This record gives sequence, structure tokens and C-alpha cells, in this order.
Amino acid sequence: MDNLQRTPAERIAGGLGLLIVCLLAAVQLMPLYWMLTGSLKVLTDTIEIPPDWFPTTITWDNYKQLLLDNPTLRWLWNSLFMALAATLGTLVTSSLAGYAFGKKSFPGKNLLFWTMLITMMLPNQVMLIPLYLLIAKLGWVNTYAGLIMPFIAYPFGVFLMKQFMQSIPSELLDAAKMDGAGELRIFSSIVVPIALPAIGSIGIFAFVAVWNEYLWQLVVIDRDIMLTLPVAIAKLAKGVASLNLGLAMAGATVAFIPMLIFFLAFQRFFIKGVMVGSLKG
Amino acid sequence: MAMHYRKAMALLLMVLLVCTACGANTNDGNGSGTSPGGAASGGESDELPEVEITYWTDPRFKLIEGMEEQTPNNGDFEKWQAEQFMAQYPHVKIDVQVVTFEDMPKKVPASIAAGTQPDILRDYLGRTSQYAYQGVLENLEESVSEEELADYHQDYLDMYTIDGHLHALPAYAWTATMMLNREMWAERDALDLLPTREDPYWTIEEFDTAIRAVAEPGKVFPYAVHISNSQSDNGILELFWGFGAKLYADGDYSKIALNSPEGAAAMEYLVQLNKDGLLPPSISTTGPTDINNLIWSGQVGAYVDTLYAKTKLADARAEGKTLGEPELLFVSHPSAAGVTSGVPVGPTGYAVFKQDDDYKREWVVKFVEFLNSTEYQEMYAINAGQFPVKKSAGVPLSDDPDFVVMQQLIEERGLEDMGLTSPKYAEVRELLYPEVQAALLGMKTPEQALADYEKAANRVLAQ
Amino acid sequence: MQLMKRILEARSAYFFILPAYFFFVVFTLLPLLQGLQFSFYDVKLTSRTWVGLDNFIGLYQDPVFWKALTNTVVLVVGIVPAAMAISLFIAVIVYPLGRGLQTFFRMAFYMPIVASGVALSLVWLWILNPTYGLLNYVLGLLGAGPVAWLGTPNMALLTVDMVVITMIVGQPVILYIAALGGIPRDLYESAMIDGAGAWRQFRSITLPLLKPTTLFVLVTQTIGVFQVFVVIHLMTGGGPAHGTQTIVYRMYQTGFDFFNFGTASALGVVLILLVSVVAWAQFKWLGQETEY
Repeated sequence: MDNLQRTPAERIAGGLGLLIVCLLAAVQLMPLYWMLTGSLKVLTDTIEIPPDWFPTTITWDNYKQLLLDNPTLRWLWNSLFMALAATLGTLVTSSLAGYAFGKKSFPGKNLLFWTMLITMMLPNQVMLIPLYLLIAKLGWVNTYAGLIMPFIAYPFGVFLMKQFMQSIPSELLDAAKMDGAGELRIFSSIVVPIALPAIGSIGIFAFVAVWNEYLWQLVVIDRDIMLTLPVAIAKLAKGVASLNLGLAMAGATVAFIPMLIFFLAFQRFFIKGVMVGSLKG
Repeated sequence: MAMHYRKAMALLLMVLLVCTACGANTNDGNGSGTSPGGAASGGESDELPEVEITYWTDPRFKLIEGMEEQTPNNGDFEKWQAEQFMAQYPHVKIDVQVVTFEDMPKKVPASIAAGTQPDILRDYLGRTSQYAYQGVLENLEESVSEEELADYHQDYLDMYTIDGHLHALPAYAWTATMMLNREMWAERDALDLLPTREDPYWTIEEFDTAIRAVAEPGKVFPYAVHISNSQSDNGILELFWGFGAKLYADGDYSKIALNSPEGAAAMEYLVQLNKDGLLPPSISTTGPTDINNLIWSGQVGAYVDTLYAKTKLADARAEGKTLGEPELLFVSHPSAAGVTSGVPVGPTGYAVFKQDDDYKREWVVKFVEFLNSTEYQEMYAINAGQFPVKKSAGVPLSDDPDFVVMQQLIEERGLEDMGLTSPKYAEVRELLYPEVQAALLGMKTPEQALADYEKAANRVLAQ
Repeated sequence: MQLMKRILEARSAYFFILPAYFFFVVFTLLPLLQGLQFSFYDVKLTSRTWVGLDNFIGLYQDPVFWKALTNTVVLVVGIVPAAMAISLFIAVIVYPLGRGLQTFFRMAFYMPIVASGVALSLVWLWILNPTYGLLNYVLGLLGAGPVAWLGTPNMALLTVDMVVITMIVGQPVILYIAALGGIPRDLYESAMIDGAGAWRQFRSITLPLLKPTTLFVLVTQTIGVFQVFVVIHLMTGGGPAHGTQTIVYRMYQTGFDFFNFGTASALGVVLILLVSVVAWAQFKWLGQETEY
């Protein structure tokens, strides 16, 4: 892989490859750039041809309108609270279950695990209608409970956690057992510390997954004040008489920023965590 | 070991409790309108028991004349109305929710199925009628007072009567006809090609000449019709009517009548216009928001719309969304030789979902009557170009020449049937636009598209 | 008796899975089973009637259903391999670069996953707009276009394809970069001594050793693509002329536009069958390589 040992043809290919990757990266980043600059454009500039690569007149009106005329901060809070609570729940349930599936043998283990795994493969949308009826029966339409509860059990999290738990040496657990430590003690003082990287990354996956569970949020909330940010933004953007692109972009930006901060803060976990799932069993 | 299990159980319970607690809290905080608890806990003896009413409304009014500051957004006006009522009757609590046109037909059925429907729904006749067929609405002729009903134009009450029952109280109605951006013809010195307010009628041939006179390839697409989804389908229907085709024959909702030689002629004409570049590019996926932008920037000159378009244009102008000086002119939709097609009316009304508490029903109906007071009828007309349904409202826009033209069209040409009260309205209306798209995209011949539409629609109607 | 004893012995294990299973059963498994049941009923807003296979027969006769089914398959077949090939390509190019550049590219490709699908769909809708969109303007500068990106059924499907790919390549890129780091360098060194070129090394060392990653990516991406909803909901609405109609979107429309929960559930059952077949095939392949 060293450059020195490459043939000229390989180097040209490598250079070309890099060029293509740069282009692809540009395609990835362009929408985000367009979103950020678009949110600062006045309306007439947003539908102008040729388009402005940089906003010629920078306006904060879109943000003002977004934040002052709409309960945008509340929407943001709704999304954050929902995603954090569901993530917390997911972490508790999947680390417990992942530990049992990964390190213990018990009758029915395979059946229980595969039932969960198979439903993981099924699109959430299949459950949409019955789940809605259930949540409605529980009186949870328009509540945080309605947003959060269906995502407390996260089969993908259980699956990833099981993969990780299998890599914990059994000797470690056996030794603790010999010392007379109880099951919960072993779990909390030995398993959890070892599993922290996995917990971190599953947490991030769960957070992103719940945040982006658009269809469910669309269906279960109809009160303005309880809307989640993505649904509220889509609603605003597809508003009644005319599309206000600047406002839509400001909304998209506001929806993007928390996730960006979250990502930057936990980037390490993202990278490590992604690996957990693909570990050999 | 047992100790640990107990601890674990306690932990699990705690997690569950915390979770349900946050659910329960928010539930209380927002007060589900269907909970009967509120009514019983009346408090002081001389006060009336409390009533909680949930009111869902479509987005219609904003920037109300004289109260622009208070009503910058859709829903502000309706919330203000509710506040007026609550100030008058402090024991009534009203929760107003605005649901977008797009979400409305999805949220309401879901809420009915789950039993979380609102008490009052302000929505389009084509949708309230569907809920009436499901048997979930109050029969309003029983609870609305006779003097109130006597004030309504009988035509509207008839339109709202399904199986002998008044399923909702009409609030106001739009009518839609051909809207032209006069500026585009004035600029090109071609105003003589257009009909006038004094003589608003014209033929398809005259229309054809007029739009071709202002077309500029790739820049000005003089005619637009909305077919990107099922909304505003009256635009495409008016083209069919202009050629003499009908959606249903004589109110027979058991089968579609659109697949006729006249219908085929209309479809062929539209396909031809598209081929000639007279429709905006990608018209199949161009939504109303984009069509409005094209009109306001002088790129589309002819489009079927309601008087509400004037309000929208004024708002757009105020927000700096216009290019040039668009000037709207409403005339009759053009019609083929020998055809005198009428206009559709699209009434919106207040539906009341079944109530099991007589006391609450009384207040719900009282609020609905309040919303329809003569004063508000006038406001609806002035702020959204809607036609009042009550006689006492008179003609609030008599000094608006466009309003007068529409009134004339209704009187001289009569009403066309969009099948709003057909039991399968919602499902049938989803079927036409994809077939029109297919014809415009050249995937099907106009005849094939119409035949496929008829087949699919009749299958639904036969269910 | 023997079983009872074993269950009792392992009671702690059941305890550990209980919380996850409680929520799983109540909010996933039972709704799923009810969905299956609904598919045999005419589900009105306020009543239910048993109709046997009528919902399925209705689907069979509905040309839109077949369109949605084909499109779903086309999307999965079109997106998954392309996304995998692109992400592997990116990873191989980016891996040898310095730390800083590697981090930059990883972030660049992961960014769209961080931004929500809603935000991206709205931006793409603007960029792809036929009259004032950026993309057609750029094409115009190059002397091409304008292209009706969402204007015709085939083009719209292709556009959805591409937009979805940009939204999902981030995860596999990170995975592959990480997996490349896990390949022992001495393998390459000995291959080089044997005179193998970069392509041979890639074919005979990199690719085989990345197989576990590839399989994992394959499964997760397939699941993801079956569930594509937001892009279609916000960008095309399934159109034009049902050109981007998918099973999931059709299910949403049937359930919430036509209030036809019975037929919507039948669509759900079809989707379950479809996903099961694909999952079964993939796990069979997986099973030969890795243990679960």
C-alpha cells in the first residue's frame, strides 16, 4: 500500500479515484451548503436564475419568522426529549437483553432471539395502523409517551449488544461468580464498564433512528405544540399558499444543528460503534 | 440472589413508572377533549359545569383585515375566535388545532378509528361527507335551532343533507373559474384576445389563440393545470366540463361518466398543449405552491382558481414574492361549441362528532353557531373570497367586480357536480390525476388513460 | 421436568431479557400480529367485517399494486449494490490518506445521515426544481439539460434512487474504513513480495477479508431501503403516474388517504413476505460465513 511501491499506472488510478471521491463528497455536502446559505436568502433570491452561490443580501428574517412566529424551540425540545428518553430506555433494555443473549444459555434462547431479529428486518410501517390504535386506546395520542414507548425496545440494539457481549471473556464473569458476586452485581460492575463503547454507539444509533422516525411522529401527533421538529418543519415548508424556500431552509438548518452538535460531540463513538455490529460472532 | 432479583424488579418498575408518568403528565397537560372528567369537576356551585371542546380546523385565514398584527399565521384567527367565545362563556375551554390540507384526510380517519376525534371539525364538504357515511357525526337538524337554519340558503342545506340528515353546518363556499394574469396580455398588446368582465364567456378556440399569443418557449408557459396530487382537482375537471364531459351522469354515483367522446377530446387537447410547450415543464409534478410562484412571476397566465387567489397575491406582494405587477382577471372557463359548462362550488362546513353528553353537545353546537354568526360570515368573505351561506350576510363583496362575475357565472351557467357527496369521493378522486399524468407523459394514449380511470373508479364505486 | 429445572436454573437470564421483551411484545409483536389479522378484514373506521382473501384479491387486480411492487424491488436492487460499491470505493481511496483527510471524508459522507431525511428532501427538492433549481442551472452552464428530474416516472425513480444513495452511504463508508484498518499489513507485504499488484491485492486480500463487513452492510442497507418513506413522501408523493410508488408508500396512502386499513394491512403482509424472502436468502449466505 505504500506509495513508493506503486506502479505509475496505479498512482494515476489512485489520483483519479481521489478526484472522484472529492466529487462525491461535494455532492454530499452541496445540499447542506445550499440549505445553510438558502436560509439566509431573501425570497426573491431563492427562485432566481442564475442562482446566487453566496447570498447577495443576507437576511435573518427567515430565522426570526421561524423562531418568533412559531413554537420552534418547543418543537426542538419535543424532538430532543423524545429521542433522549427513548435512547435511555433502549440502552437499559438492550444491554440487559444483549447480555443474556450473548453470555447465557437458557431454554428458548434461540426462539426468543430470532423472533426479535426477524421483526428487526420488517419495516416499521407494517405495524403503523395497529400500533396507532393501541396507542390511542392507551390515551397516548399527542403525548410524549406515544412518541417514546414504541421505541423502548430496539431489536437492532439488542442484536448489536449481543454481538458485543459475546466478545467479553467468560473467564472474567466466572471469576466474579466464584467471588460470590450476584448476577446484577456482575452486570453492573463488570459487564457495563466493558460494554461502555458499545453502549455509547448503540445510544447514538438509537438517537438518530428515533429522531428520524418521521412517519410515526406524523401520525401520532396532531397538536401543534406537541409536534416534533422534522414534522413541524415539513409542515411549515409545505405550507398553504406558497412555498417559502428561505423559511424551509431555516427550518431544515434548525433541525440539522442539534444533530450536528450531537454528532461532533460523540464522533468517536460513532466510528467505534459502527464496528460493533460487524464483529465476527 | 433473591435480593438482587427484588432490586432488579424494583429497577424495572421504576423505569416503567417514570416512562408512564411522563406519558400521563403530558396527557393531563394537554387535556384530551374526550375525557369526561373535566365536565364533572365544576367547582363553585353557581358556575356552570366546565366544558372542554376540541376544534380542528383547516388552514384558511390569515392576515385578517384590521388585525394583521394578531393573525400572521393560519390558525391565529380561529384561536382568536375561540378566545372571544371563551371570554363570553368562561366555563368553556376550547382547544384549537390547525391541520394542514394534506394531513387532514389522514389524521381525522385515524383519530375516528382510535376514538380520539375532535368535537368539531371544519373541513371541506368532500371530506365531512365521508365521515357522515361512516355514521360518526351528529345529525345537526336536531340540535341547531330553527331560526338559525332558516337563515341559510336552502341550496347549501340541501347539499349538506345526506340520507335525510344535516351532517354538518355549512360555513362558506368557494367557486373557481378561469383566472388570468391580465398583465401578460397587456404587456404584449394582446388584451383584445381575452374576454372581459362584462362578457366573461369564450370558446376553447379563443382560449387557444389567447394562450398561444403570449407563449415563449422555455420561459412563459401560459396555461397551468394542477395534477400533481388529488387536491384542487376542480381545475382539471373544469377542462373536462368545458368540453361537455361530466364526472357523473345526473347524480348517479354508481359509475363514472367521464370516459366519453367529450372527455377524450378534453384529454387530447391537454396532451396537445403539453406537447406544444404551453404547460409548465414537469407539470405532472408541479404543485400549487410552484404554480402560484409561476403566476406571481409572470410565467403562467391562465389557471383555474378561486377568489382566494387575490388574497394570496396580496400576501405574496407584501412579502416581496412577486415579479412585475400581476393583475388578476376572473372569467368563465372556456367551453367548446354548443357547451355551456357551469362552475363548481366547494363548501366548507362544521361537522360535529357524535357526543354522548347532552350538556356538552349543547355547548358545542352553541360554539358552532357562534362561528357562523353573520359578522363572521362577512369576515370569511372579505378575507378569503368565500361566498357566504347565510342570507343575513347579504353580498359582502358587492363592490368586488370579480365576486360579481362569479355570482353571474353561478346564476347564468349553474353548478357542476364534483361528486363531493358521493360515498367514495375520497378514494375516487385519488384515481384521476395519475391517469392524466400518464397521458401527459406519453405512457398512455388519452383514450387508454380515460378507460383505465373509468375501470379503476368503477371498481371502487362497486365496492 | 428436566426443562422446568433448566428454566429455573437460568431464571436470571429471563430476568435480563424481560424489559426488552415486554416492550417488544406490547409495541411491536402484538401490533404486527394484529396487522396480519386486519388483512383478512374490511376495517371500517368503526367496525370490522371478515372478508377472507378479498383484500389480497383486490391487490392482485390493482395495477398500481404491481407497479408499487416492481418499484420496491427496483429500488432495493438498484440502491443496495450501488451504495455498497460506492462506499467500498470511497473507503479504499480514503483509507491510505492521512488522519486529517480521513476524518474529513468520513464526516462528509456521514453528514447526510446526521441531517434528517426531511431536511435533505426539502433541499433536494429545491436543487432539482426544473425552473429555479441549482442542478439544471449547472447543467445549463455545461451546455446540457434541462432535465425533468422528477417529471417522468423513470427519471423520478432514478432521482429517488440517487438521493437515497447519498443519504445512506455514510455508514458503510465508516464501516469499510474501519474494517480496512483491521486487515494485517503483513498480508499485503507478503503479497507484494510475490509481485501482486494493487488490483490483485484488492481482489485476493481486501475483498475476502471484508466479507463479514460486506454481509453486515448488505443486510442493514436492505432493511433500510425497504423502509424508504420520507424521500418519496416529500419529493414525489409516489408520482408521477405512480412512477415512484412503493409498497410502503402505497400502504400509507391506502391506510390514511382511503381509510382502507384492511387493504393497507394486506400490503403490509406482502411486504413482510417480500422482506422475509430476501432476509432468508441473505441470512443463509451469512450463516455459512459467520456464527450468530
